[in-house]
Amino acid sequence: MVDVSIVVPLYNEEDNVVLLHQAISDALVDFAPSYEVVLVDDGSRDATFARAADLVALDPHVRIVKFRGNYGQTAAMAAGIQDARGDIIVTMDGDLQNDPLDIPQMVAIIYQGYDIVVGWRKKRQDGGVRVFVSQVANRIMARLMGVAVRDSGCSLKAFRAILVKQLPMYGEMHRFIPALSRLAGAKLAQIEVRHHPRRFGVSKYGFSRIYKVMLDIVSIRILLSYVRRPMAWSRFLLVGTFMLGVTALLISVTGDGLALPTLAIAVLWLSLSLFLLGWTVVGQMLASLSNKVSGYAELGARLSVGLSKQGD
Amino acid sequence: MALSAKLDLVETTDLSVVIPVLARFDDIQKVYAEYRDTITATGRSYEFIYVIDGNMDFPIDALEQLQRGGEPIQVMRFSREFGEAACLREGVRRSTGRHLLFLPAYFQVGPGAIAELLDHLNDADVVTVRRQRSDDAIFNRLRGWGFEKVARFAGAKYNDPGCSVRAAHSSVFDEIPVQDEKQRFLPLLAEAHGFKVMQLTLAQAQSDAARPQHRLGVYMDVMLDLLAVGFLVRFMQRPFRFFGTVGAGSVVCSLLLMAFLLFQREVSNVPLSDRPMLVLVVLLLVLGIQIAAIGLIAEIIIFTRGDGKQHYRVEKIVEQVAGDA
Repeated sequence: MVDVSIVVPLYNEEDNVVLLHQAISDALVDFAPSYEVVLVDDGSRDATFARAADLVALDPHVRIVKFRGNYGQTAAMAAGIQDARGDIIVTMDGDLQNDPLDIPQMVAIIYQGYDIVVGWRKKRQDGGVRVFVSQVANRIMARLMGVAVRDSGCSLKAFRAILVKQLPMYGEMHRFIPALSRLAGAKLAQIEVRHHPRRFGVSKYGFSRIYKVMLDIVSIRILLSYVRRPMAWSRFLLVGTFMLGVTALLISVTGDGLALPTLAIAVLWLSLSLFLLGWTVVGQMLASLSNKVSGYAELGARLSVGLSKQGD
Repeated sequence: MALSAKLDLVETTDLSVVIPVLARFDDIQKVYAEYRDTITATGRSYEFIYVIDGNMDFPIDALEQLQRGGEPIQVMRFSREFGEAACLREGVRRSTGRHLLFLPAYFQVGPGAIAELLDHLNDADVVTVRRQRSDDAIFNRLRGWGFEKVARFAGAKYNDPGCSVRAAHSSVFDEIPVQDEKQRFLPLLAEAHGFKVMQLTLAQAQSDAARPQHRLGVYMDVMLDLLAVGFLVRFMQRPFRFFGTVGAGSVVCSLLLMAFLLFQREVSNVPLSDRPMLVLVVLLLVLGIQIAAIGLIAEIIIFTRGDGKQHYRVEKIVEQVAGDA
């Protein structure tokens, strides 16, 4: 059994993989807890896997999970996290922009009783557009989710395994781990981490992300309120549309003569509130069919039991 | 050692050729002979499986004659029409080969090109074919072009879903069962499952060009299937990205119309309550919310029912075995 698992998704990082391993080994040379490195090869088309496989022969800490195709960063992280054996899981990017020197400090904070530690790249070394996009996304996320995370795009994070193995991980959920953790009742800490400019390879991000992230935030926000109270996720809209319908109905009958457009509008709103009621019931049915919903709701209680200190 | 030597003696078929026989077929003995000669030339061991889709006009005697002549052929006939997918499913179920080759009961590509197709099985899990239609009738070319565009729109790189010539490792079908009409999009589905897919462009067979075509309805069905499968592959993980976009579009249209109505009220003093267009505004708004709600329900379904492992496939895990170093 190991204490700490370091999960690194790799996609076409043939130049970085050896350097990355070197950096991790150097950073953890005086590290007391035992550790393992889980490299996830996300269907790279270059020599990433071959070079990583060489590392396995040299270093017993290293394990590789090789994907059959390219499934994206979230899938790679999810696979690495599921495969990790440590009580604490650290995730980081494979492009050397995160510095493994920050890992010991993050792990120490988890041992102090936090459930999740998020890195904050105070001095980001990326292009201006990308930093801007990320800042806007973080603002929106903080506002909508009610969780102020300075830099949720930073991949360098540490968590307790029981927390992160429970979180939903599909689509591009990895971006929402801090917010999801907080809403599950986890104790969250943020620390400043080092950030380096990219040395090799190309960044795999684009500008259209902000729009996708916004849509994702809406759906995750709804999902979470659904998880807490399966009946309540559409409550606000349901009541709102019903009131609008009633108002329009009143206007149409109290005016002189029966105003046809207003009546039509009343019918539309009222039918919408009926439909929403239907959807809500469908959602409730899905919740009663699945134990995932209740499992996620109980996560907070399990987290309140602390992690045993190293060496206990 | 002895065991492995023994296993070698058990002959495994390398290639199972599945030929669904639907409404279209050519002289069956001639087609068989050409296919067989090509496959024999590649040196693979093979079997042929003919699945006849309830077609009572089909001269089954010709196949039985070949069978009696010692050719490795299985023939089965459905009692009525079940469609191409059912034929393929039955063929796959009865196959014993490590590789599968699907061919139509007529030539879509020249039989000689099949050798090239089989060669590529060494470095891909699924090999699909796009017909080079330069000699085809103008309508067929137009239709082929249309399919390519729809396929592109649906997010598919594989642009000849009407071509039934394809080859695959049999392991692909352990994971992707042949269901309903989706088998046409096997390459797309296989890729979504992480298999390596390759598309070859081969010259179209002379006899395939200018051949009488299906009814219009068949093409409509294929187009709709293509869109559905493309949607599934692209938005399976995040349905709200699709529904949210459409819903937001509808809401934006509604707000623009509303702004226009308000503008008219201020400028030309048309009271709002007399405007039937107000109904359209509300209709679009309601529609937008409805569509978004469907997306959210889809998200909830994925969240509650999705089994966490479905979206990626681990090929292998590499680690040092204890005591290895």
